Amino acid sequence: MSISRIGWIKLKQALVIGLAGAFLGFIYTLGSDGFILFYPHLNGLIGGFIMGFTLTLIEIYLFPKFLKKWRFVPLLSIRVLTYLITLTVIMLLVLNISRSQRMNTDFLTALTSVESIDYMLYEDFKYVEFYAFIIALVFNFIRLFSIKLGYGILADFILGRYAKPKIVNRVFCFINITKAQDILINKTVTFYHQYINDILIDITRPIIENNGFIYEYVDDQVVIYWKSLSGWERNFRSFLSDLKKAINGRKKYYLEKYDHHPDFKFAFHEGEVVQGEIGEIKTEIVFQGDTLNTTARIIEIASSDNVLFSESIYNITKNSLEDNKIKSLGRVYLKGKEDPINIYSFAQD
Amino acid sequence: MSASVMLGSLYPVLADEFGDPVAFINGITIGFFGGVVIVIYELHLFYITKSKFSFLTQLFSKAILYTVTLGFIIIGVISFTRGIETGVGWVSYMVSDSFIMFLFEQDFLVIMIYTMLLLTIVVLTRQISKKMGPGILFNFITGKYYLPKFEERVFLYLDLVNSTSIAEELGSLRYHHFLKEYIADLTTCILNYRGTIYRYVGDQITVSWRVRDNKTDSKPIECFYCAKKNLEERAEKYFDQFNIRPKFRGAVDTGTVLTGEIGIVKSQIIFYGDVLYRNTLIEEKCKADNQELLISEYFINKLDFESPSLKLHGNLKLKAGDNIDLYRWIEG
Repeated sequence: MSISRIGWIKLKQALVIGLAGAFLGFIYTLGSDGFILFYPHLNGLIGGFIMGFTLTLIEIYLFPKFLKKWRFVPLLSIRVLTYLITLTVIMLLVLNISRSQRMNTDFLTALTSVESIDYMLYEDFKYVEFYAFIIALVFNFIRLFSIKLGYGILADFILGRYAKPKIVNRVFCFINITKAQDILINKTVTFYHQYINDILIDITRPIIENNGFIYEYVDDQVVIYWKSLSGWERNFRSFLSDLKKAINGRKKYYLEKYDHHPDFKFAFHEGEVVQGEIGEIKTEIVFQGDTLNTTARIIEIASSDNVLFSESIYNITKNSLEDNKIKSLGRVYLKGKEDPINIYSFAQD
Repeated sequence: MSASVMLGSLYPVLADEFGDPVAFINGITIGFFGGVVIVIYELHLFYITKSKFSFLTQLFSKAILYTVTLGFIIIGVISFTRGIETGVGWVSYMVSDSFIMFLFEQDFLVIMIYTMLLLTIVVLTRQISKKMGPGILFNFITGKYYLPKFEERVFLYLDLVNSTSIAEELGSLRYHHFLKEYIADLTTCILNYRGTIYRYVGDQITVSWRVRDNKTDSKPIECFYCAKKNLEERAEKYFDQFNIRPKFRGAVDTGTVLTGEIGIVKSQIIFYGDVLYRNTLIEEKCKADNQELLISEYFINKLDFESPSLKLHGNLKLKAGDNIDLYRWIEG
C-alpha cells in the first residue's frame, strides 16, 4: 500500500479543508479587492488552499507527537505560534511569488520590494493574518467535531437531518472481537485499550470503503451500519473479505505485540429504527428500535469466526452468494423474544 | 460562557488598528458589555433548549440576535464617548451630522461585519462545544486523553424503570420523544451538579465526576435527588403527553478507570474499569431490593462528610467472590 492505512482518510480531510480555505481566501479577496484585478483572487485561492491543507496536515501528523509531552498552556502557545508562523510564511511565499511574476523579478527582490514592505506594514497584511488565523482555528474545531460525530455525519448533522426523529431503514452489523477478554484478564487494561484501538483503526478502512458507517463502540464490540439496501450484497461480500485481508495483513504485528491474532464474529440484520438526537448537552445521534436489539441478540449466539444473519439479510444476499456457503440454523429462540426467528450463517473462506 | 467573555475582551485588540486611545476604550467597553449580554442570553434564554431547530437555524438565529444587540451597544458606547469627547451631550451627539456620517458612510459598517463574523464564530464554537458535551471539545483539543490515563472517578448510573414496556406501549417514535424529554430533564440536574455525561445506552445514562484529593462529595447523591424531584414536578406533563409516570433507579460507585480516546473517524472518550461493571450490579440489586438508589462502600469511605441519612442497606456479592456493602440515603 503506497499510502498508510489511515493516511488516506487524513489526506482527504486535508484536501477538504484546503478547498474550503481556497474558497474563503477567494471570498476575502472579493471583499477587499473587488473585481478589477485578477491576481489578488489567484493569491486568495492558492494561498487559502495551501494554508488549509498544510495546517490540517500539521494538526494531524505533527501535533499528536507533541501532545504526549506538553501540558495545556505551552501546548496552546505552541499551537498559536505554529499557526501564525505557518500562515505568515505561506502568505509571504504566495504573495511574493505572484509578485515576482508580475514584476518580472526574482523572489527575493519581490519580497524586499517597496510594494511588498508597504503591504506588510501599512495595508491589509495584518487583517489577512487575523482572518486566516481565526478561520484556521474554527476549521480545527469543526474537524474535531466531525471526528467526534463520525465520518460522513457532519453535513447531515449541521443541516439538521437528525434533529427531527424519523423512522429509517438500516442494515446493522455487530462486530465482536472474540477473545479480547483474554487480554483484559491476562494483561493490563492499558494494553487492552491499545489492542482494541489498533483493531478499530485497522477495520475502519474496510468499513468506510464499503459504504459503512460506524455507530458506536461498546467494550469489545463495534456497531456499524449501512444506509442503503440497494446493491448491498456487494458491500456485504467485499466488506467481509476486505476486513479479513486487512487483519491478516497485520498478523505479524498483532502476534508480536499482543501475542494474539484478532478474530471476529459478525451479526447482520436490517429493519426499521428511529433515528434522532438525544441529549441537550452532549448530543448524540441515536438509533432505537427492535432491529438493534435483535442484532445484539444474534451476535450473542454466534461463535468464533461466525457470520450470522437474519432472514431479511438472507433474502438480499442469497442470489449473490454460493449456496454451499450459506447454512440455515433454522428457527432460533433469542433471549427476550417470544417467537423464534430464522438465522443463517455464512462460511467465509 | 467564558469563551464569550474572553472574545468580548478580544475586541480591544481589533480596535487597536484605529490607533487612538479613545477607540481603544470604546473597544474594551463594547467588548465587556457585549460579553455580559451574551452570557445573560446564553444562561437564561438558551440554557437548555429542547430545540426542534436544526444546528444551522440555531446558529444563524443566535448570530443575528447577538449582532443586533451588539449593534445597539456599539452605537450606545461610541456615541457616549464621542459625546464626551466633543463636549456635546450624549443625545445631541446622536443626532449630529458626524454621527450620522459615522453610521452610514464610515466605519460602522466595517465594525458590524467584524462583529457578525466574530459572533458567528463564538456561537458556532459554543454550539459545537455544547453538542459534544462540556469540556469534551477542550479535552480533544488539548489531547488530554490522547494517551490513555488512569483516573479516579465517581459514576452515577441511572436506569429508567420498565423501559421495555414503556417502549412497547409508546411505539418507536413516541418513545424517542419521551426519552428526549426525560433525558433533557435529567440533564438540567446533571449540569447543576457539574457532572459529565459519559454515555447514553438507550434509557440508561452514566454520569461521572473526577475524584480530587481522594475525597468524594455529595454531588452525585444530590444530583440523583434533584433529578427525582424534577421528574416529580413534571409528572403531570409526562402523564398528559405520554400517559407515563417515569421513575428511575440509580447506583453510585467510585473507582479507578483508564480513560482513553478510541477510534479515528469516530472518536469517543471511553472508560475502562471494574467500577462500571459494579454499577450495573448495584443497580440490579436496587431492582431486586426495591430501592431507588444504592451507594457502594467505596464511595462512602471517601466521603468528606458524615451523615445520619446514610444507612447501611446490605451486602452485594461480586463476581470475584468479594462482598461490598451498600448504603442507602434516607430523605428528609
